[in-house]
Amino acid sequence: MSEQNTPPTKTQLVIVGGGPGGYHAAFKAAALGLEVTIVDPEANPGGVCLHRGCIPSKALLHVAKLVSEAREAAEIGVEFAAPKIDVDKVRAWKDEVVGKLTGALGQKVVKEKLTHLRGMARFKDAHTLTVLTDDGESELAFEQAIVATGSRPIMLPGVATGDRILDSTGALELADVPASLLVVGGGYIGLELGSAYAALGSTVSVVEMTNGLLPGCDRDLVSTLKRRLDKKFDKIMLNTKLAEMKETDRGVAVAFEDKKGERTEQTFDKVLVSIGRRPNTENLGLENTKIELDEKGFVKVDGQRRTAEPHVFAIGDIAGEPMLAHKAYGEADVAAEAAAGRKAVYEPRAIPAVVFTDPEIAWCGLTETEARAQKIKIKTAKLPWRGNGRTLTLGRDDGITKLIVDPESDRLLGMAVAGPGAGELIAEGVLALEMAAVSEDLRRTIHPHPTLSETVYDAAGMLYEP
Amino acid sequence: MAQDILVPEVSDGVTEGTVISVVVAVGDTVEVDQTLLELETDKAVVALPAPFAGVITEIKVAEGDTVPIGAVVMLGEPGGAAAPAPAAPAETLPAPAAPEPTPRPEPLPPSPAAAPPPPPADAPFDQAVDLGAVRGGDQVAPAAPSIRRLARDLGVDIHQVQGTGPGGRIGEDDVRAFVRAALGQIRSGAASPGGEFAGLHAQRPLPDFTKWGGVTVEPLSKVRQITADAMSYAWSTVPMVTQHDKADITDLETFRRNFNLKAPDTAKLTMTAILIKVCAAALRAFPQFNTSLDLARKELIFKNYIHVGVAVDTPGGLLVPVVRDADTKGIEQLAVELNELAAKTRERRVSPADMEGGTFTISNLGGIGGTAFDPIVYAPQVAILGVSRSALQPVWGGTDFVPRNVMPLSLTYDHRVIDGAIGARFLRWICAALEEPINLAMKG
Ligand SMILES: Cc1cc2nc3c(=O)[nH]c(=O)nc-3n(C[C@H](O)[C@H](O)[C@H](O)COP(=O)(O)OP(=O)(O)OC[C@H]3O[C@@H](n4cnc5c(N)ncnc54)[C@H](O)[C@@H]3O)c2cc1C
Repeated sequence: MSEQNTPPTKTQLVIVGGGPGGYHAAFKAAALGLEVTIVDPEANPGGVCLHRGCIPSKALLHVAKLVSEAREAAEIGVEFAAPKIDVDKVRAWKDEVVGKLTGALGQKVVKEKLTHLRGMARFKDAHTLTVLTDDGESELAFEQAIVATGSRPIMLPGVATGDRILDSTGALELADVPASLLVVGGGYIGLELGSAYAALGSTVSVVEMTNGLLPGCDRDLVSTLKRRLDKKFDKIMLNTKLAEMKETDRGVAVAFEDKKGERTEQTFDKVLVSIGRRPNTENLGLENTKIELDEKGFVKVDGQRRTAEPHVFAIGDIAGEPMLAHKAYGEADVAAEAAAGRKAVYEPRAIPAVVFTDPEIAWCGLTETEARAQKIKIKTAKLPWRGNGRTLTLGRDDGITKLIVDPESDRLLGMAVAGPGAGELIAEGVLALEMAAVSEDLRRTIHPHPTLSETVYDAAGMLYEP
Repeated sequence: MAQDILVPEVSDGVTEGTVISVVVAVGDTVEVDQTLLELETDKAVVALPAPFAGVITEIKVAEGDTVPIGAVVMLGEPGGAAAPAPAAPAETLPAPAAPEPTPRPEPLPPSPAAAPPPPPADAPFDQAVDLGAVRGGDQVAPAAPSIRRLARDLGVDIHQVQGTGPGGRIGEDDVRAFVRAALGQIRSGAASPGGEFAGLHAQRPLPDFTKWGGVTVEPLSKVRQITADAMSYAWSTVPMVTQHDKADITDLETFRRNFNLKAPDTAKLTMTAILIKVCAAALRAFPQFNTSLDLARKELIFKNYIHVGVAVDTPGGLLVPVVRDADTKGIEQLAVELNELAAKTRERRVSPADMEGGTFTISNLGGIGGTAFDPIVYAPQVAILGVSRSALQPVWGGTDFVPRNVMPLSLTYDHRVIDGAIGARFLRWICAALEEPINLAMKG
C-alpha cells in the first residue's frame, strides 16, 4: 500500500470511500491527469462490493449452482453421491477470490501512484477533510472531492447482530452452515444468500411483509423464480410480518403475524436480516458544507453528480437508487471526467439489474409493471424458453424473455429475462436500449445457435417479421 | 528468406518501450496484423502487429526488455496463403511498413507524472454543460451514447434534434444537419447565437494598458454593444463597395429655404426628409437595393415595402429609427414624421419597434462636416447612403465657372447582391433626381 508516514496536507482530488464508485473514479481521474488521494478504512480498495457484497455472494452462489446441478443431473441419467461440503474450504476459497481481486486493486493504487490514506474522513469545511487513521488525525485540503461512502444494511429496530442474528456481512462470513435459517426480507440479497445457504444444506425459510418477492420487479420474472424457490426453500411466507424475535441458547425464537393478525411461532438456528440498505451519510461532517440530502437520506446531486457544493461530487450508493456497483461505475466515470474539466453528464438510458438466484432474473429499462402503473402505452413480446433448444440441452425448461417496445416507433423500451444465464443475456438489451434499437434491429441481428440469446431474436420476431 | 520485424514508430517523442508480453512463439504461423508482442511506452500500451503473414523464425527479446523504436525484435519468414510473395530481394525491400500501432482497447492509464498537466481547479465551472437537457431512463433521447456525447460537445440540445433513423433514432447525420441549419439561421439573422457577445470573435487578447499609465474602465452601454455587434458582423461578413458622387442641390436648397420660411417648426423640411423620398423612389426603380440575401437557402428576398432607416446621433449613441412606407408618402408628411421621430429618438423615447424593419438606411453627417465617408451596410440590408456636407463649389457652366451648392453622396452596397455598374447607376439616379426633381415624377 502507499500509506505514507507523513500524510499529505493537500490534494487536487480526494476520493472518500474505496468501493466500486470510489476506486473507479480514482483510477479514471488519475488517467485523466489529476493528482488523486483516496481515503478508505480497508487495506485494499473494494468497498462493500468486493469485500462483503457482489463478489463473495457470487462465489457462494457458484457453489450452490454446482450442488444443484449435480443433484439435478440424476434426472438425465448422471448420478452423483450427495455432496460433502467442507465449509472451511469453501470459506477459504471465497476469501481467496476476494483477496485476489482486492489485492490487484491495491497494486494498481501503487502502480498508478495514487495516495491511499487508510482511515475515515469527514468534512471539516467545504475544502478540508479531517482524516482519522491509526496514526491519529490529520487535515487534508482538497480542490475537488468525490464522495462514495456507500451504504450499510438496515437492522430491525431494537435488534443487534450477533452469532445467530446476521446481516448480509455476517452471512457472507460463512461461520458455519446452520441447520435452519430464516431470511427476513424477500429482496435480492435475501434470496441470493438464502439460495446459497439452502444449497449448502440449510433449511431456509423466507418471510416477506408485502405480497410478493422482489417488490417492484416484473411479476412474470418473479413467478418464474418463485416456482423453483418453492422447491428449494422450506417456506416462503408472504404478507407476513416478523412480530417478535428473541435470541435463546437453542436458537432464535421468532413470532410471525399474517395479514389476518394470526400469530405463529418457530425457532431457527440463525436469522438473516436483509430488509434493505441505508446510505452512509452520517458522521461525514456534511453539516459543515452546503451538501444536502433528499427525503430518503441520499445526497442530492445534479446531472454531473455534483452536490450543492459544485466542487464536491457524490456517486454510488450514497447518491441514490439503484444501489448497484455498475451504477456506481457509471457515475464514477462521469464525476471523474467532469472533475477533469470534461463535459460529461450522467444519462444512462438503462441500468441493468440482475438477481443471481437460480434461475437468474435480469431486467433493464422500463418494466411492464412500471408501464402499467404509469399508463405508458407499450407492446410486449413474451417468449417462454420451453421451445429454445439450448434451454432443453441444459436440462431446463424454465425461463422467459420479454421485450417491451413503444407501439408507435417500435423502439425498445425495456427487456426482462428469467432463466439460467439471464444476467449475461441482459447486456444485449442494455446495448440495444442505449443505441435506441427497434425490434427490427434485434430481429435482423444474427444470433448464434444454439444459445439462449436466440430467445431475444425470437421475441423480436414476435414484434417484427421481415 | 527471413525478414526483420521492427518496433514501429509509436507516437511523437516515444523513443523506446518495455516488452510486457510476447504473444507468439518461434514456429508460430501468424497472419498480417496479428499481435506479436505488447509494448508499454510512456504514452500507452501498444500491440506490435505482424507486418506480414508467415512463420516466426526467431524472437530476439524477452518480457521486461526495453527496446528502442526501430529495433529488430523478431525474424519471420513471409509465406502462407495470405502473404504476397516479396517481389524484390530482401536487402532492397523497404523496412516493413508497420501499420499504425493499435493501442489496446483499454490502454493502461499513464502515470500522473507523464500525463498532460491537470486543468486548473476552477476549469470545470467554466466548461459549463447545460444540465437542463440531462434526463434519465426512457426520457433519454433515442441516440447512441456516442451521438449524445457528440451533441453535447457541439453544444446541441439533442432533444431538439429530429431523428431520421428507424423509430426516430437520432444519428450523427441528424446532429450535423441540425447544427448546419442552426448556423444558417444565425447567418441569415433569423436567430441570434446565444451566450457570448457575438462580435467577440474579432477580439484579441488586450495588453495591460496600465503599464503605460492610468486607465478608467466603463461598461459598454446596451446601444454600444448592439452597435458593435452589428458593425463587426457586417464588416466581417459583407463584401462592401462604396460609390461616391455629387449632386448639385442649388435649386433644391432654394426651394427648401423658401418652404421653411412659411412652415411651422414641426413641419420644417430637412434635406434628410427629401432624401428619404428620393431614395424611396430610387428603391422602387432599383428593387435589388431593397432586398436581403439568404445564402443558406440560396435565395434573395425582395421586400414589397420600403421602410427607410435614418441614423440619428443621440447622447447615448447612434440609433436608427425607421420611417415606414416612405414610397407612399409625400415629402411634407415625411418631413413631419421624421422630425417627430428624430425628436423622440434624441429623447430616448423611441421604442424598439420604431427601429425595426428598415430596408435601406440614410446616414446624414452633413450637419457636422466632411467631404465623404464610407458607411457600413446595416446587414441584413444591402445598401446605405452616406451624406456629407454640401458646399458652394465652382462648377463649369459651359462658358464659365458658376458657384453651385454641391452635396457629396456615398453609397455603400453589398457586392454579393449588387454589381458595380448598377451601384453607380443607382447613385446617379438619386443625384439626378435631386438636381432636377422633375425626374422623380418622370422616372419614379
Ligand atoms: C450481499 C450483497 C450483494 C450484492 N450484490 C451485488 C451485485 O451482484 N451486483 C451489484 O451491482 N451490486 C451488488 N451489491 C451492491 C453493491 O455492493 C453496491 O452497490 C456497491 O458496493 C456500492 O458501491 P459504492 O462505491 O457506492 O460504496 P461501497 O461499496 O459501499 O463502498 C464504500 C466504501 O467507503 C468506505 N467509507 C465509508 N465511509 C467512509 C468515510 N467516512 N471515510 C472513508 N471511507 C469511508 C467504506 O468503508 C467502503 O469501503 C451487493 C451488496 C450486498 C450487500
